[in-house]
Amino acid sequence: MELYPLANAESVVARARAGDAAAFEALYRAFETPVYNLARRICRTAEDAEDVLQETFFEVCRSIGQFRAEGSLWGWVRSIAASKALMRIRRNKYRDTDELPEDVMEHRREDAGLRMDLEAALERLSETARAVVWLHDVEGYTHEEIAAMMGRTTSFSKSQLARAHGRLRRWLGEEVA
Amino acid sequence: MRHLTLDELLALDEPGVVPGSGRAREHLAACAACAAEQARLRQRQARLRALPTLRPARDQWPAVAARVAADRRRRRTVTIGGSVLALAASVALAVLVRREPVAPGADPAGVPEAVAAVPSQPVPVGPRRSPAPEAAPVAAAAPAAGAVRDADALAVERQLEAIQARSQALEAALDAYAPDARMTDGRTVRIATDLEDRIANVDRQLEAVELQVPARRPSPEALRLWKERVGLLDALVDVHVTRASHVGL
Repeated sequence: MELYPLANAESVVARARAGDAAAFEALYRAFETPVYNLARRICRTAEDAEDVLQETFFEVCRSIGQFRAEGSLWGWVRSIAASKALMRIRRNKYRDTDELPEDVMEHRREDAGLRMDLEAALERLSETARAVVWLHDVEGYTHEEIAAMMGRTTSFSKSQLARAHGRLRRWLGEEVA
Repeated sequence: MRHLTLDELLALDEPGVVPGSGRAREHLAACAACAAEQARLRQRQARLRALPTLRPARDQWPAVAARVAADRRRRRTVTIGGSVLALAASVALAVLVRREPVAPGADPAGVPEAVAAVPSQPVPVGPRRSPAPEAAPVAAAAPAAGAVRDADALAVERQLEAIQARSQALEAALDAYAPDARMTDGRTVRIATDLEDRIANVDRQLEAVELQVPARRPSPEALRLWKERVGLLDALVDVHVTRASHVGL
């Protein structure tokens, strides 16, 4: 079952393939929120997420002829969005907090003396780690799919996920002594 | 007793058989600490899935629509440019088929008028940015034998070439200005989007006209539509340049 069903999807896709502007807009309206949500959870800023949203639907409109009608429309749109978001974080110049020395990380963790909430902890992860966590735990991609999208190995995806959960566990105060 | 690592706990939820998972499951069944750790991991994952859905602060559709329309316009220019080149090629082929051999010593000025109608240079088709799925089939076959352009058709053809060149020049100017890459205010986006939509509408009418003219003779209706297209492109350039001047860019 489609996670984000679009009424009369076949008709909308057929009209979009014929260049119908209203059909393009219908596609956008149907998937604007889940695409932005995925992009915003992976990217560091709202501006980046908006760019990913635009780039995703520009690609959807250009490539609608390549969509295979028997597949999931949302699945196809989401794969484009995930790819665009990953391309964006690759282009970003933000420092990965993963790369800070461990002693600095520990010091930062203890600074406030407070447990973070999950939103804050997720934001604190590096873009790469956050992308793997979101794509695997929330969007349901397999490590093989994530590795293919990132141009990395399955082992890389698995280790990123484990390290990310180790950090989340610590920042959320869930570590057992 | 070694407790399970996060890697091992995560691997237990992966599809398929993971090496060592049998031993890990045996340990999990016997170790309350690892079972609690697994429960916390699964709870954390469930809380991630339950995070609130984030929504964009602004409607991005106008910007997307403008980019799509601009892209279709660019692809349209390549398609029409290709059709014009095909038309010129078919005219040249028809002339070659019909041309009378020139006797030795004969006046070359006696060359049939149709030869003069062949452009001395191919019509530029502009940069090909991507495949154009709407590309009209190339008219490789020659028009009917004996097809000599009358004066009216020749005049329309020449005007078409000139107006299409003007259209390509305006497209190139817009591309060089790169309006999509610049910050725009809402009013400019709305006006530009409206112009892009009207250009796209003219393009659809041009496609319909081309389909109705099987012999690909230059059509006064096509000329009218191309003039309308150039008018709209002129207005689009004005919108972007005027806005840029106003804000000091």
